[in-house]
Amino acid sequence: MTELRGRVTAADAPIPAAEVLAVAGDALAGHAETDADGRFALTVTPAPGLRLLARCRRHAAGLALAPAAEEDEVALRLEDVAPPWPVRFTVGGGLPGGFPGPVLRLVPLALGALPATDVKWAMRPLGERSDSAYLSEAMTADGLTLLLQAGRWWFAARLVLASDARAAGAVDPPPLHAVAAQLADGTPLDAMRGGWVLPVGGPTAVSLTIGER
Amino acid sequence: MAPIGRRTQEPEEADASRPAPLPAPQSAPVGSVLALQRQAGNRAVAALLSSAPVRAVARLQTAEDLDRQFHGHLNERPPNWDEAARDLNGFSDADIRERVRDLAPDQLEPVKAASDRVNGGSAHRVRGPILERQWRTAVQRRDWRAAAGHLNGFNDADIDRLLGAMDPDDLMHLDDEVLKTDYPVLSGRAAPVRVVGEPRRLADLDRRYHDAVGRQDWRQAAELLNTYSDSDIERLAGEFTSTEDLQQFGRVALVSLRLRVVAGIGAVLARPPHAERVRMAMLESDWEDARRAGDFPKLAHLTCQFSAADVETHLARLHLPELEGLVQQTKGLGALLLRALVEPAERHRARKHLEMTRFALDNSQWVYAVTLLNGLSPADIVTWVDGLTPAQFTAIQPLVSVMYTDANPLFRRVNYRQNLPALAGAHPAVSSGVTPNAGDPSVPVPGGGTVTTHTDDAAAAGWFGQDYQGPNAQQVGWIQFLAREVEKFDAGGASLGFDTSEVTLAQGQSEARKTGTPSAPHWYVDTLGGALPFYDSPATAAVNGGTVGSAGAADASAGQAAMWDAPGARPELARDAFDTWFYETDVATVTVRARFVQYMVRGPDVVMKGGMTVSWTYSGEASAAAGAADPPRTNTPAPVAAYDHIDAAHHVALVRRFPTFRYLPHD
Repeated sequence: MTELRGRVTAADAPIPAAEVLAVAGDALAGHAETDADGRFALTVTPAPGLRLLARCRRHAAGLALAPAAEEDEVALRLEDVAPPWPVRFTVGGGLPGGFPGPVLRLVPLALGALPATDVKWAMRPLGERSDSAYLSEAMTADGLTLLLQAGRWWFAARLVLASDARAAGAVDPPPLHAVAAQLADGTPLDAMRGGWVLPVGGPTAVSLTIGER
Repeated sequence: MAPIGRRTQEPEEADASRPAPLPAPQSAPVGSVLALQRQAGNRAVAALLSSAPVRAVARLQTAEDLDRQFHGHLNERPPNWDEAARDLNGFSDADIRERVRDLAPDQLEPVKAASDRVNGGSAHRVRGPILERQWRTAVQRRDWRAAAGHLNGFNDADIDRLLGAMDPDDLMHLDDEVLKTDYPVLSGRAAPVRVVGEPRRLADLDRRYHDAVGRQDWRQAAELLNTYSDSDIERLAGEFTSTEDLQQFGRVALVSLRLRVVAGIGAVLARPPHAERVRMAMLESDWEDARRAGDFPKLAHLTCQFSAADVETHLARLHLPELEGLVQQTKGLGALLLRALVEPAERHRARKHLEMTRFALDNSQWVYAVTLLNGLSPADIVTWVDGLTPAQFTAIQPLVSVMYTDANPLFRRVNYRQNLPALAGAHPAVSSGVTPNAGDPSVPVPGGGTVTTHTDDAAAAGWFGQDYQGPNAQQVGWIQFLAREVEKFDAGGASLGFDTSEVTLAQGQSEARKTGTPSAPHWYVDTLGGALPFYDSPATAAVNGGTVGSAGAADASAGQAAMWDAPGARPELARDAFDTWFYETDVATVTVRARFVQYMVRGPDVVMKGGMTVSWTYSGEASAAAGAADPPRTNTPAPVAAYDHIDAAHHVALVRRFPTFRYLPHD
């Protein structure tokens, strides 16, 4: 067994709570989570071609990849795979009074020049988790800005307000979804699997239209 | 006059006044005869030599010759003391005494000194008569100082003999002088008084001793007492009623090296009643030393050596930190060794603590007051915090919030009191309209009443409930927490894991909720309440599609506090779970669960905990499609039971949304 240490960053800023996977070919050799300073340590069985892959699934989203090195602290930089860019999502036309922004769900389709086989690791089940989205965030009525790695991302947005604590006689409002999405210049985004395909190659602004399907 | 040194009594030396034994008659050479002449005198030699050859006798000095020679040496200028002393030693003892009697006073000392120098082992033949003449002369002149000095030169038997012949009045004067000067042999052997046994002398000594004691002139008393026998020393020391005086007397005697007195006093101090007083005095002294040094282990053990009454008086003298130090010693194993201290120390600590708390509050010493309030028992904290004046409460509330965490009893009570205005009327009478079913068996609630868990409502509308019925129901509120899970299964029913990427929004609640797993749940307070966390608390703002004033379904009255919930199914979560990517295993069924935990809260206390898991299982993607009917819900209760705190994960969720309720007890 060998211990691997490293740090996950985006533009030198630490990325906390990133999932760091030790990957040997198609096998998962081990995993760990970064601390508040972006640092991690994991113990794995040495294997040929062992690589470290960081899944960044919060405000800064994407994958970082580097060969495993026992001696040195491994630097996993998001920008080494593809640079992250600010992407701003807003709801065009506004929302009903008192309603929050929708919940945004994203999945990476392609990240920089990363092979598709590596991108697949983004959605690989880990432990007892088998997620349907790489990143989920609730937008506010004012919108949401994320740092998305350059590439292509799938996203969907919906606003479902069901009751958890229920008032007597309460009726849940109908679910709302993003029924249209376009870039700032009016270019409509391509629809895919109930959502949209968002190319990211620089600062991006996306406007969503929310309504009943 | 300097004390006259007492001669050393050598083994071969006879008493000064005792004649030396005569040597056996024999045919002696001249040298031997001269020696005998010097030793035993001319007459003895003449008698011895009565049959000696005439020629030898002719060569011997006659007594007259020796007497002439003796006086000749005395009359030389300066006198030849050594030859005179040697001549004098040549006489018989009687002749020596006769010639000593005729010596001028100023000749006595030189002759005595010369005899000591030149007459070797027989010097006492001259010395004794001279010393006795000097003694008698001093006594005759009532020169007691000189007399004491001369007396000191005799051996013990002669001292006894001379003192025994003295007039009692003279003896008293001599005794005074002996006590004034340093004649250890005389005073140390209790001479002259004990030897003589003169009643007047004894009475006078007793009077003077007791006078000295009365004046607390311990040095004089020690000197006088030293002249008594050992048994009398103990007897007289035993007359003391004051242990302190006797101890002081002993200390002075020790300094004065009157060791017999010291020993006698020591013997008396070792017996009742002084022994106990000495022990107590030493205990008291040690106790004060330990107190000054802050040596609490020692102080605790010493305190235990007092009587029960004295323990009380000593504890009453201690300050609060000292009492706290003692109490600390009685904890754990210390309780076994300090049994006598456990209860009184804690009682005094508590008493002092309350006194100081009142003092600090009355004198606006707020930080100290807060510290002391924090040291009270939980029950006392309730009493004291509730009893604070509004001004006092306003002064200490911010300090408590800064100084302590929400796990602290004082923090909890202060913040509870702070929250009381908001809690007033928190549970107004209301009817849910839900028709309960029979419910599970009722569970008794600490403090009275029962709780019944209703897994389903009678109308099968999906409601579950927790129903408290009993006293003070309008002081009772339910706080519900929620964690959601989405679990995927393959066609064989094997779990494919949990979808933790879902975020849901709840109508009327602003907090977005993430789905989790059984081992890593995300908990949220589940209430429409805007200002209060209770399930029946009303919304205070229109958030997330809710309306102001709406509240979770509840039945509230003077005797009932029940909550009812029927959460939404969330098919969109199942829909996402079914929507796999090309490289994922196909999902056959999805179970969406809403795990609920309810705490029953009464005032500042948590009293019960219950739970309910509501689940929906979707079979195939079509079952979760938009417009499809929700699958049947399954409500699975967790046993409701008495519980006195909120679990940590739930408390975190509570504080995140309702920070003023962090005072509720939690682990």
